[in-house]
Amino acid sequence: MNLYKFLVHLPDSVVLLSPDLKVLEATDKYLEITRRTREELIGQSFLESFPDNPDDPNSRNGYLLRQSLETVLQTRKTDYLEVLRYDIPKPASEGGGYYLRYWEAIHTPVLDDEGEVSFIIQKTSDVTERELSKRALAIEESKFKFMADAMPQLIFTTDATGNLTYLNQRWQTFTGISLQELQANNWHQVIHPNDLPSITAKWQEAMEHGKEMQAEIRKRDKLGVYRWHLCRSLPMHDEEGNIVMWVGSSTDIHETRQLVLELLESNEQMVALSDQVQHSFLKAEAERKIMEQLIHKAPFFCCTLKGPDHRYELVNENYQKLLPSKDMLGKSVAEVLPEVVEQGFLQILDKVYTTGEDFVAEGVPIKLDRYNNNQLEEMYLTFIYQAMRNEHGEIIGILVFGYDVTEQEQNKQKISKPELN
Amino acid sequence: MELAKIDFQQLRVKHIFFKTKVRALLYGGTFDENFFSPKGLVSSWFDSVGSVRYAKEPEIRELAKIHHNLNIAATALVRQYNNGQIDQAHEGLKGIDLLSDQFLTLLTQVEQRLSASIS
Repeated sequence: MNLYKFLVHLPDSVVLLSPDLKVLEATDKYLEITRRTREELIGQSFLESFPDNPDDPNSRNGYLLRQSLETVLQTRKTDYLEVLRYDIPKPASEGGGYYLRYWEAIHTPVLDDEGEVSFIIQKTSDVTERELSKRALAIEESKFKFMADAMPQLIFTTDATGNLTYLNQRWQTFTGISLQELQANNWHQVIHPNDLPSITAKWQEAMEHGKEMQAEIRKRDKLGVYRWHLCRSLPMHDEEGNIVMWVGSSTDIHETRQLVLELLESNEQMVALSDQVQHSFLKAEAERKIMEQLIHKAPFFCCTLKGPDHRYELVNENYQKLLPSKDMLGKSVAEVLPEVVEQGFLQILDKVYTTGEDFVAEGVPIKLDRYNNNQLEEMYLTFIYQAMRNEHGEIIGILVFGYDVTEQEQNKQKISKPELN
Repeated sequence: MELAKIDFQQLRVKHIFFKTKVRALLYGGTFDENFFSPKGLVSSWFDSVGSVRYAKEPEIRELAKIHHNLNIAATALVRQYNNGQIDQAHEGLKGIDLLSDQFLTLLTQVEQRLSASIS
C-alpha cells in the first residue's frame, strides 16, 4: 500500500511540520483550502508562509500559532488552537490580497523512540461559515441588547428552568448594583423583604404551570428607597410548544400609585366637606324657617323690600292686615301703594337704601287705599326702615317693621281737641 | 333651588370618589366591601336623596342604572386584579371612564334642567 498516496488524499486538511517548523508534507485538501501548490509550500518555513494580514495591525495570529507549536515541542502533548481569524494570502494570479478565513487547529506531536518530537501534525478546520453565522447572530443579539437597554423598564430573561441569563443595563442604573453582582443570583436582595415570599411563590407557580405571571412588588433603588413596580414574566415557547426561556419586565408604577392614593385621600375629604355643606345648609334652612314663622306671627307688622325699587319679598300677617286687599309679593312699593309716592315715603326709602341710615317714624299719619277701592284711609303708624346688608356689607334691601297706632293717635287727638267734637 | 344644587354637587363628588376608589384598588388599595354594597356612598345617595326628592325625574333613574353598571364593572376589575391580571385590570379602567363620562354628562343635564325650570 502506498502510504504517501493515502496521506495526500486524506479528505481532511492536514500538514506535517518538522521540529524546526518547516513544511514536510500536506494533504491535497490542505493545499486546496490554503490555495497553495505543493511546490510553493513544501520545504518552506511554516510561519513565514502564513504571515499576519498587514491590513489587520492587531492580529496576533503569528504569535499565537508560534506559541502553540512551541508548547507542543516543549510539552510533547497535543495543543488546541482556539478559533483564529487567519486570513490566507491570495495568489498573485488571483490579484493578491487576503481571503477572510476563520480556523481551528489541533497540533499533535509524533514522538520518536527516544521520546523526542520527530514531527508535528497540524489538523486544520476551516470554520469560516460557522464563525460568520455566529458573528451575524452576535449582531442580532447586540441589537436586542441595545433595544432592551433603551427600554424604560427593568428587563430580564431566564432559561427554561428559571436561571437568570440576562439583565438589561437599567437594573444597574436603578439599583446601583453591578449587573455581575445582580446576576450572581443576588437579584432578590433588591426586593422588599415583605414582598419576597409572595413573589417567590408566584414565580414558582408560574414556572410549574408555564403560565404568565404578574405581581406588584417593591424594589430598592440606589438611594435605598423602595419603589413599587409592576412585574410581568412571560414564557417563550418553541415550535413544539416547549418553554425555551422566560422574559420578564418590571415597570416603575410608584408615581402613579402615589398619585392615586393622594387623589383618593383628597376626594375623601371632598366627600366629607360636601356632607358638611349639606348639613349646614339644612340646619340654616331649618333655622330660617323658624325665624320666618316667628316673623309671620309677630305682634307687629313687618316686611322686607328687596333692591333699589323696593320689591316686597316677605310680608307678615300683621302687614297683610294693614293692607288686606293688596297682592304684594314680588311687586314694588310704587306699584302696590302709588298713593304713598306723593306722601314722600318713596324718597325716604330711596334715602335709606343709598345711605344705609335708619329711618324712624313715630305716630306718623299716612293715607292708604287699604281695600283697593280708591278710598284713602288715614292711619297712624310707628315704624322703622332699616337697611339690610349682604355678607359683603352691601345694601340689598330694607326691613320695615312697626305697629299701627291709629287708635291711640285718634284718642290723643280727641283728648287734646275736645272742643271740636 | 339651593338644595338641589347641593344635592347634585354631593352626587358628583361621591361619584368621583367612587371612581378614584376603584383606581386606587387597582394600584394596591385595600378592598372595602361596604363601598361596593348597596350601603356604599353613591348607592345611599340614590336611596336617601335621589328616590326621595327627585323620584319623578327620569334622569335620576338612568343615573342609578349607570351607577349599578359601574358597580358591576368595578367589582369585575377588582376580581381580575386580585387574580393577578393586573395589566388587564388597568386596561379595564377605560370602561369605567366611559361609564363615568355618561354619568357626569347626564348629571350635568338634569342639574341644568332642574335649575332652569326653577328659576
